[in-house]
Amino acid sequence: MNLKKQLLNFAVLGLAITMLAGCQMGQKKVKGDIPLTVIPSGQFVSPPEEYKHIFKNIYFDYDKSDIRGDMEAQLVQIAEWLKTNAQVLLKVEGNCDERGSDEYNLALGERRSLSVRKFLVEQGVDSARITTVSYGEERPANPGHDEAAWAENRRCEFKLAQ
Amino acid sequence: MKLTGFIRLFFVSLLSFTFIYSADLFSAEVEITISKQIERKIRLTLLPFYAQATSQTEFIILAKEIYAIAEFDFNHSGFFQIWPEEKLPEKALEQGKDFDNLNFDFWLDYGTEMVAKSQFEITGDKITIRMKVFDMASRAVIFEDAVSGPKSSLRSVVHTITGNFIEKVSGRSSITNSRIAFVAQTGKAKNLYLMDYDGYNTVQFTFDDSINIDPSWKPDGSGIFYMSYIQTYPFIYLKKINADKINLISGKPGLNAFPAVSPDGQKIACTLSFNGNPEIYVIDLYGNVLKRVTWSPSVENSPTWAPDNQTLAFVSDISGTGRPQIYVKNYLAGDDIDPRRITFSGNYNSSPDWSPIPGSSIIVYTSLYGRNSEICIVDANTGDYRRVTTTLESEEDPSWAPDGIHVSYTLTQNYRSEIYFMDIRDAVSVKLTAFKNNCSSSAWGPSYKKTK
Repeated sequence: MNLKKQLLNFAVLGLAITMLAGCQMGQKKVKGDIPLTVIPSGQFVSPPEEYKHIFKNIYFDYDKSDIRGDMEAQLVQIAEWLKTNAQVLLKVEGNCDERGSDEYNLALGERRSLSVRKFLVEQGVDSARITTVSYGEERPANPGHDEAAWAENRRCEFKLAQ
Repeated sequence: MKLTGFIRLFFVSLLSFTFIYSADLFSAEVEITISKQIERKIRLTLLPFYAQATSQTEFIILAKEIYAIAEFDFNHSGFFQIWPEEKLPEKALEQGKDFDNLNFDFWLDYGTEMVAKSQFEITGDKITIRMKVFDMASRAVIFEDAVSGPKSSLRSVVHTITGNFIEKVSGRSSITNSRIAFVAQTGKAKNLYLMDYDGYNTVQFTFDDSINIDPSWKPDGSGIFYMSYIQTYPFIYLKKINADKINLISGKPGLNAFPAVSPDGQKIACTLSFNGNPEIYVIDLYGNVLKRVTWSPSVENSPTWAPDNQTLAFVSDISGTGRPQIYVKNYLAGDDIDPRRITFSGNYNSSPDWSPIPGSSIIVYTSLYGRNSEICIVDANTGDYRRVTTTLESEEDPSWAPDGIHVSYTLTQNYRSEIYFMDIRDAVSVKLTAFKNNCSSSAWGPSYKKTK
């Protein structure tokens, strides 16, 4: 218990020093951003039939990019699968519904992909294996113009490569 | 009260007299501000275009065609109205035949302020248009010009001579010979197209089955930066106007989007996400990062440059409302300096475009009103804003013309989108595209004077 506390104190001190150093360099660090380092050269395809039940779409609330509670179990399953199939690369494709500006939605779709990626990395998947692409509102799954269609279109889809 | 009215009348007539000699004074008068909507326009009588030699049928048709082009240019210049509104009698029209002189007394009763006389001449494949404009107040010729070109570019020849006159009177860049880039959808593909500012001469600019969007003109008009999925991922490219080759500018992992070239043509503001979140960056013309501008956990997009080549406006949803708003920040400011929010009304404000007029703080943008988007303008210094469009359709994604008076934009009706333009002061819409498919994402190119 005491040791734990000491470790925690040490960690807090370390964090403070890091932040101070960051400030001295005139740079703000944005907490939790995981950089994208490479564009994988693999040919990404839809998940094979036997894994489709694992790589189901992840859906989002309107104008939101955080992972919904009811989507977490699905993502945990994907993370476990990726950990046991370490040679597979993942592409997360972010999409939005048609409401709002094309440009904002393109950025929002990217942020949705990055949210999914971050969740998977926090589950222990190597960040270098996951890449993102946003299609904004360019690729609706449902061409309708009502709430049911919009809910279907606010999604991340998955593509795999060896 | 009466005296004030008289003084004002005196001042207006004085002004209408003096702008002829001082273009600056007049252009100060048309400076776009948040509150000002309607300007007084100069009443211009445009007499028929007479062929110098003959009156064959071909020439009569040509004369009408030239007249229609010039009439559109003046009526949509923002500075003139063709006068009188009704058709002139034959004896008035025939006054145009004497190109060199004007019987000023004849025109007194018409209430016109300027009379334009024009001639054209065809030699082989070449057409020459001459125009002489007489000013009623000073009883003098205030403009005289001749422009030649191949017959095949008749429209451009007419636009050049009207543009020269509009520039002389307004002191602003003319739009008559400018072009507008836009996106048209074919099936799932989106490609860039170019058209004249009046909707004529549409040509396809990119040719692939991916998505090509967000055009941004080089200030000299020689090329267009844009975003494309032609190599699977959203990257920024440059394509020169008269070349087939496309050049990759920024192809980092993640999003490379919304390129906006600075007015000095030296750098590009854009959104990149390679650091793990979409943020505003400034890159050089080869894609090297010069500066990261934002450091927020939210989404930043759609940057636009102020005429000072340093201040950026962009969209961010960091406000805490969870909805996008417009912010400004000098890209050279320290990383610890937070962007300054300038839109506070409405919960969804996006697509800013900063006026190209030096010193201007006016930004045109899109604001969501219920389910419809509307065009608004905001003063970046004061935060004062005005809603410009008030129709039941959706108007969005505005782009300033080089004169800082007109904007092109997307108008969507029943899920069909076309490109329109308007004078920001009266918001009267002019339809430009008539495609089978949706058009969007317009970007108004520079004045032709800069492209020479």
